[in-house]
Amino acid sequence: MVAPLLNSLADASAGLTGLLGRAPALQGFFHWAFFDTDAASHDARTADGTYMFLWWLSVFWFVLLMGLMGWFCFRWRRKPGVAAPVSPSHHTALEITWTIIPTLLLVVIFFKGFWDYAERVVARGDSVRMNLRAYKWNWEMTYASGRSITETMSVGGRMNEANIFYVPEGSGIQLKMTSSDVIHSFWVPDWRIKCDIFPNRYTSVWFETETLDPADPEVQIHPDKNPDSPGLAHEEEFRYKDHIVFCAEYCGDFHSEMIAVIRVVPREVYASWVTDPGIDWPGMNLADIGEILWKAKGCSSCHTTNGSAGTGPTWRNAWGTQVPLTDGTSVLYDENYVRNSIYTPAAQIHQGFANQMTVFTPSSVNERELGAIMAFMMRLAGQEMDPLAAQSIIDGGPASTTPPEGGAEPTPDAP
Amino acid sequence: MATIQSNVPAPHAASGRQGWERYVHAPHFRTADDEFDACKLGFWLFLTTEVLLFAGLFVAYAIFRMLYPDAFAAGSHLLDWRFGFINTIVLLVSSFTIAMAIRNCQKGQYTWSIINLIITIVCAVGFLFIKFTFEYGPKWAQGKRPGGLFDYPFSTTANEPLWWSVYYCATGIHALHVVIGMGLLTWCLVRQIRSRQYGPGHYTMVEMSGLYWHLVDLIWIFLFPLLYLIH
Amino acid sequence: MSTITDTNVGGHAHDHGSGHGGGHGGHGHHGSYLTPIGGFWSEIWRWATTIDHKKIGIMYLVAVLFMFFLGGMAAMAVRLELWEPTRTAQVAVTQPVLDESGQPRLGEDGQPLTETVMQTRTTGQLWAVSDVQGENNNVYNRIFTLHGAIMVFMVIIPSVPAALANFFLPLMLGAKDVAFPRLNLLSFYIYAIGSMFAVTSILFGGVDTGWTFYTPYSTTTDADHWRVAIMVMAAFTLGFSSILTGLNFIVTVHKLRAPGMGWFDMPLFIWAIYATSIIQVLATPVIGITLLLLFFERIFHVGIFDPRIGGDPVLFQHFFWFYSHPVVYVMILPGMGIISDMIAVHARKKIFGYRAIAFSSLGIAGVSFIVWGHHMFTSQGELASIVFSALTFLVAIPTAIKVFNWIATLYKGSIAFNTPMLYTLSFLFLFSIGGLTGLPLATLSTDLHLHDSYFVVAHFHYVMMGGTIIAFVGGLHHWWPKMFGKMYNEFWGIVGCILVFIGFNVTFFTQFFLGTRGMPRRYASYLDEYTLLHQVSTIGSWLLLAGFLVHLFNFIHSLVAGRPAPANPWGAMSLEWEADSPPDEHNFHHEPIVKHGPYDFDTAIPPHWDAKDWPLPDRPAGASAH
Ligand code: HEA
Ligand code: HEA
Ligand code: CUA
Ligand SMILES: [Cu+2]
Repeated sequence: MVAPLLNSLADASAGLTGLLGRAPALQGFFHWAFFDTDAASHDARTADGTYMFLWWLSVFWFVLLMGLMGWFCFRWRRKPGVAAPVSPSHHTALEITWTIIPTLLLVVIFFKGFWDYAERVVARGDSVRMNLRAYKWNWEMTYASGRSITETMSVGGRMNEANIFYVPEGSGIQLKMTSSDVIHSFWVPDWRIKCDIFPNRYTSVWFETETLDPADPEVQIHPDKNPDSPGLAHEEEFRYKDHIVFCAEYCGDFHSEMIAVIRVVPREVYASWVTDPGIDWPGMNLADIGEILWKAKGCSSCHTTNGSAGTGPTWRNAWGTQVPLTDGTSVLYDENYVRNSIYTPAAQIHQGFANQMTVFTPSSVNERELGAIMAFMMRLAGQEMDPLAAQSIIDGGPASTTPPEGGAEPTPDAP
Repeated sequence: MATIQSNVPAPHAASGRQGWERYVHAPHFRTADDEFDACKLGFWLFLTTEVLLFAGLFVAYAIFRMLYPDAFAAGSHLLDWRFGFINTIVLLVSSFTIAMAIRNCQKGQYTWSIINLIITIVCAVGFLFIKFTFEYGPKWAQGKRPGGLFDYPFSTTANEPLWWSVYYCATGIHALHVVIGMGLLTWCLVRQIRSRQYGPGHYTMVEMSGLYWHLVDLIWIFLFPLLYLIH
Repeated sequence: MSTITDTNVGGHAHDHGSGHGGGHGGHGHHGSYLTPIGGFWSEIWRWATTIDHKKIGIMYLVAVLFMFFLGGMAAMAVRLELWEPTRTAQVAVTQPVLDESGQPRLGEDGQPLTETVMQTRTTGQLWAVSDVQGENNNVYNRIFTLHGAIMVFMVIIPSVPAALANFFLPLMLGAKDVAFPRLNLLSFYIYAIGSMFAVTSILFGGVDTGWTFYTPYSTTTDADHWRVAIMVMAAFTLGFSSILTGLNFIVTVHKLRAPGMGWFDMPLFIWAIYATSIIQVLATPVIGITLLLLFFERIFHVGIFDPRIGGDPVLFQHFFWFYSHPVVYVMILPGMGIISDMIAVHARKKIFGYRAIAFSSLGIAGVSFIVWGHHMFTSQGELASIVFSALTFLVAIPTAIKVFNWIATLYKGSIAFNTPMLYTLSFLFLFSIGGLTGLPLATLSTDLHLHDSYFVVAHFHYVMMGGTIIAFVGGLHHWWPKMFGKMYNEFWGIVGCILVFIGFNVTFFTQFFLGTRGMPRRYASYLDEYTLLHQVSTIGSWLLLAGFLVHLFNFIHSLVAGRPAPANPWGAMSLEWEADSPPDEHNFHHEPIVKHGPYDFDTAIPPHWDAKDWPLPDRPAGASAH
């Protein structure tokens, strides 16, 4: 009775296997459909392999089952006046078979995933270590050298600029990550890697960067045509490849804007870049530096410079005014107010706004940077900082950056 | 106990059939026994959910104890085990009296059932009284409060606010259960006094309230050593 | 199991005897449960205070469909917003910056400065970019939270158990009511209160926590308002309703089966509901305490989940998923139960592997408690991830067994292509996809990439919508004649089903590719490269809406002008078809006595048998039908 059923199972699976035998083109097509381009690291390619294995396995079972379903439905469709033939309603051997086969397959799948994973979580001993801090709604990378200022670029016509983090090619990178407020998650789709970031604890993620292959269409040459990106200390041309970083754990209004770019560059470029303070303090106008910081520190995601209210109050024409506070009092918009609002934002909340501001610390925005931001605010209100004060801020010396050792004198870049 | 007569007529029961004797089981059950069994099964399931509710708190306790042993040791030193102990006794006594009350109903000992119910309720009130006046009140006043409200100037460990969070959540939710249990028992008492609702043929409500009360007791039996005794 | 119920011989339903296939609901002196006996207001009162499981079921059904409509509208808004990468309602325009006197401001290089502003398409109003973006994202976040929370807590969890099973569980068991009818009504009102809390919260601005309420985001957002606290209470309250319903059903199954009905004579729908109820009773209290602590956190800052004072947000995730994973089987098991029944009835075939299906329901219920960590591969320790990954694969086994048995049931059946059957086939198609895509999520190395991407979104819509909702709507058609005593229009039913099937696949199949290509979920705006796939998905959602509207009008039409339904329009064997359509107040005229199994199509005669419609198979020798 059940023999035909078993036979049809066998037939269908044989047919399908035959089909898959001629599959390289199909394989390529689906790989493209799912992943567009090849993954950018060895481990990621292994994971993609597992994914494609699962895909074909699923296709096999799905086609088999749906094929049977369709065939049964057609073959035994209801005909008026014709009763269903009597047929058995259970078959122990069959039940056992179709319990054991999936079980075995699932064991295989688990181990495939487990081995890939085990290989992935153990960091390479010679990895380059960096610290990543996530906060609403931006990323801040601190390199071993202490450098933290980054360049920014605009991604996909978004309003706020994405920070660019440099990493050396062909190396293992280990990030130690923590968050200042809520949970975020670090995801680089190109490397198929993701790790959550928690406040008050460290998590770490490890990945390997590719070597830059000139034949790769996504590898670009610097300096590029993007006039917006405040350039790099380097004048020579070099190759680089950008990878998008998404925040993958929901974190509020600008969760979808919490994007950064990881730029894989040649090792020597990386080496000189990390020791480069990024901003040429003596060579630049303090307010201009403030503007760079406005983007790089993520202020721009809430505070506009054009007069309209964002998540936070605008900076245009704010300096020197009286600020109405939620408790009914008001306060002068001056050095103290700005400092307090950055280090202890909850203390004084501007009327009409929620207490949404990220708390910064002197290590995330140092005194000198604070000064530059204030200079920028003053300029937005049509005022200018006292040149002496500005000079002393500029002279304040880098708080956490080491000046470059010989050569590679930073070039001023107008933002 | 046996001297108490079960069939003293209730004041209003002129018809002769009174209170529990008039009880008719719901029509969708075949017999009153079926109904009783169903209620019992349902109630045990309900108690399971209560146990699982507290299980969440116990897990939280275990985890934070593991993370911050110092804070938990320090915290439990700040509790006075004597109050906890008295309350344990109070609850044990009440568990006994409620068990007796159920037995009284089964045997038709009307008056005794009322007396035992009253003792149980008095114990419940006593428990809450001790809890609030000798424990919560002074502690709250001293600033030994949960989490963000914590304001105790002499704390010796960093994570003590969390200890108090666990303490207040666990005992607070337990106290809420004491209140609910008290409500159930009062309901039984009132119905028993007013219309002799519970007797040998029908005492489901008393039995269920009793089960509930045992659970409340049981949970305290776990909370007491965990919070007061283990340092 | 081999003889038929004596009351049915000759196709006569009852001693009261309507003609066989009795095309009318009423039986003279007996009113159906729907027959009004008073004026309008007294009827309202009668419904509002009823303890009749059928009426309570219908009230749930109306509430659930209404909530489904609300949640669906939110989904439409979500899809509309995702039509364009940044926003749909406004376009970006570039304009010169003006100074106070209205003159263009010049930059340092002497060129006029320009800025980008947003313009509302319909009204032409101009906005600052950050203004619109922040506000826009904020609204989007509230809408998808609303969508997720409504669909999970107010639609899918009560859909089959509280609405359909409430109506049919006692009928299928041959009982007069559920074990605790008043508790049943109480559950309904608790559900209503919970929904009211949720709606209140929405009216006061809604919440933007996501349906998962992850801390510390959920404990800090909207810190100045109580609407998050109210939403948390809503979920807590709804949990209560769910517990009480589950408890009621477990006791009913244990205590109120008709004489002669052993455990293995129960329809598989009942088995599924039984397994579901066990999960509801065992898992919901844990979310109860979790939400309570979250509530305390918002009100008193107890800090158990707050990292600032040493609390543990990962503990919240463990608690949350300890409930919310089992609850996905609360969603799917009843759907599977419906499918087991529908596939047998409409293929007129004894279900294949009855015991395998029944035990796999229990198996799924059991295993569902030990796999929750698969939602946390990126947040918990490595070892825990490995263990949970391994355990997760266990759930796939009983599920696969079910799928195999259903398909085997079709073998040598007599398969009708009516709406319920088409929904059954859709279910098999869509749920298989949904379940199979659970495998790469359960696999450690691939989930690192797929977690919190649209791949997950596609996966869970395939199982929840493509599984449960499809089964629910199919079941609604299957039992519609019994519930309301009216037939629906088969043609429009099929049209609706096909629209939903196509629309569903267009909407959600695309999202698998979005996910693998790197599109994160809960994103109000996205990179340009995802635009095409998002737009296809949005178009699919319109087809879905059209499909459901067809069903809605078909149902309304049926209520108003539908053909009266016979007592047993499908020739089914289980007890609910022995009752009238719609059933009598007390369900049955006589307590039914079970003499055949629910799927004995080839050995027994269905109640209200009509040889013309349901020819009997050639009996194997020895079967004693007459
Ligand atoms: C109805 C609800 C439902 C159901 C039934 C399932 C079923 C399954 N789910 Fe799903 N899941 C959800 C609802 C559901 N899920 C939701 C809502 C989320 C996201 C929540 C959120 O984050 O918001 C989620 C997320 C989710 C994740 C986390 C993803 C992440 O965030 O990173 C994982 C990971 O393991 C997972 C796995 C599975 C598995 C293995 C099954 C298995 O039970 C599937 C078993 C079925 C089959 C395997 C297919 C049928 C069988 C065959 C066709 C035969 C052939 C099969 C074999 C040979 C194996 N699910
Ligand atoms: C049961 C569960 C369920 C159902 C049915 C749906 C249905 C739909 N969902 Fe939903 N969805 C979730 C549960 C569900 N969803 C959850 C839990 C989330 C996660 C939320 C979070 O991240 O927190 C989510 C998230 C989610 C997202 C991701 C948002 C993001 O991450 O940014 C998207 C995007 O496309 C989406 C779309 C849709 C669409 C288009 C439908 C459509 O299928 C809807 C179609 C329905 C209608 C149009 C209603 C029509 C109804 C009637 C006309 C009434 C009459 C009906 C009858 C008579 C039957 N959903
Ligand atoms: Cu940060 Cu999402
Ligand atoms: Cu899960």
